[in-house]
Amino acid sequence: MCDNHTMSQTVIRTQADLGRRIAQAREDSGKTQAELADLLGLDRTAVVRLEAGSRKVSATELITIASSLGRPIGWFVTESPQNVISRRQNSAQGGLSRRLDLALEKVARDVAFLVEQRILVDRDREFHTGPKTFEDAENLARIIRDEAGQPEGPIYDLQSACERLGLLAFSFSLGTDSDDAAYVEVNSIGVAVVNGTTDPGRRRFSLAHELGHHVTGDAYEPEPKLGGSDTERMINVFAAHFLMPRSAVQLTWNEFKDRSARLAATAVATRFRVSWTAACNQLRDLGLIDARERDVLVERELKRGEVLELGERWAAELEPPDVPPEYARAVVTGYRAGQLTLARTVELLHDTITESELPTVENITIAQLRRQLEVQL
Amino acid sequence: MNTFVFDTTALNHFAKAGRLPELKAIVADGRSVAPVQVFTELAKAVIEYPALGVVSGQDWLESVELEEKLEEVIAFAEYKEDLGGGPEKNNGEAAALAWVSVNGGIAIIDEQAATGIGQRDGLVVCGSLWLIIRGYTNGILDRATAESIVDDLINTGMWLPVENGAGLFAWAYEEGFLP
Repeated sequence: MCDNHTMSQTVIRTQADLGRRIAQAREDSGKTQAELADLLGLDRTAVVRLEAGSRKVSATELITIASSLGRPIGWFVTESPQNVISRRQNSAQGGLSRRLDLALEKVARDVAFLVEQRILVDRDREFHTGPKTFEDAENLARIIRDEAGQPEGPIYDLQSACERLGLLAFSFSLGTDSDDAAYVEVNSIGVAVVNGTTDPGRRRFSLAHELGHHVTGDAYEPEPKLGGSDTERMINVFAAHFLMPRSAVQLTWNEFKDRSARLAATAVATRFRVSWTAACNQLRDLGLIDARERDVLVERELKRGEVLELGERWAAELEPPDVPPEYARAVVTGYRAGQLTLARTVELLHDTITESELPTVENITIAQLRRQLEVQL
Repeated sequence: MNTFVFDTTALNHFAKAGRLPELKAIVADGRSVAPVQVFTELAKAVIEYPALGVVSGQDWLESVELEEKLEEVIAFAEYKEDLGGGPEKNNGEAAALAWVSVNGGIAIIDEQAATGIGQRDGLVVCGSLWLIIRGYTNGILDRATAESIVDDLINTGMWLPVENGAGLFAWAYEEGFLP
């Protein structure tokens, strides 16, 4: 299930606005005024006044506030791009959204900054009609696979395939009590954050689900009914067909079915890199097994030993932390061109690289010096 | 009157090179300020580089905090997010840009990305080499002294787009920046 959720779009104008923003971030983080006061080396009454807007906040204090409350410092003063379009809930746990929403909001701010710096290019794209029937969903999956340049077979490196479709997918460890994935649109660039704590098959399915939201452009419906269970169900059907297209699944099924249904289903889960449940559901939806056979298969979870027995490798994708490859290339190129600081580059790559692994750049370029000297002062 | 708003880098390298007296002379026709974040960054580096200890005692360099005007704090937060660095890094650059964006003046920054981001917003952002050439064209430094300061800065670890002081002045002459 997804639900719709609006992010804050405040621009602060007064000291009181800034105070409210600090109070909101503090409450979200579960800290008391006394705890924040300790971090700032202030009395609790100073924090009370600061949140009420009757005491000024220095730049130095704001640095401490932002880092101790886990928010980008700019969040306290500028709006974040767009709304969260979709959040795929962790059905087993019920789902907590705070960590996922914070991660998504941060990435969305980063992407907006990179577009503004022209490090990422925001291209116009066309949207497809949201699927209303099973047939629609399967057709849409076929069309999108064609657009991704992978019409046949299993899709390996789903992250790259999504990136070619204008969807930047990130994976972070958000814990077992967080939701599975969420999607937001920044101008026309889609941004998805996948909870990397979940298992690799589920991560892929969650991302394929967000891809469904991305290609159907839910953002532009006048009144998006994102909590609508029909829409969500059809997006899941899309995701299943995108990852497990009918003809390719049938080929794998036929290859193993005479040995045993369980082995054939194991081969489908392994080759198409989806969870055991997702594989069994798709076999049922494709009419290769009936509902009772599906229940029998799902009842006993797939053991790793069974995958080894099959003799086929499964390389995990979206292992956290993970950033999309073209995004990473653009960020490093921006750094080399002197558009990003060393520290910002590492932040944008979410600790998939360290400062010492990046080449050093000059303090200033000759072009910048020329421009400085042209300003006669 | 110009206001020179210093980030950490120029002060750091002029101090390590023992060239603060020349820096003071170059900017003596204006007001010089540095955000408190700059003094904090320099203080942290004193253990490794004792020469930096003298910066805080420079009477011509005024310490400023971004606090009085809300616009200063807003500008700081925006630049700080653009420059990154968490609680410890890039605070000096962000503060210098924020101060100049609200109060005017010339940000003295030696970092490509911060320079580019300031210039994007129409701020005047200059650096150590600009200061040295300015000192020469204003008659504060003779050419030999100016060139030797560049050499000293390079020796303290600045990565500049010129080989040495003589190279800088030859280039600036060819480009028509020197009489």
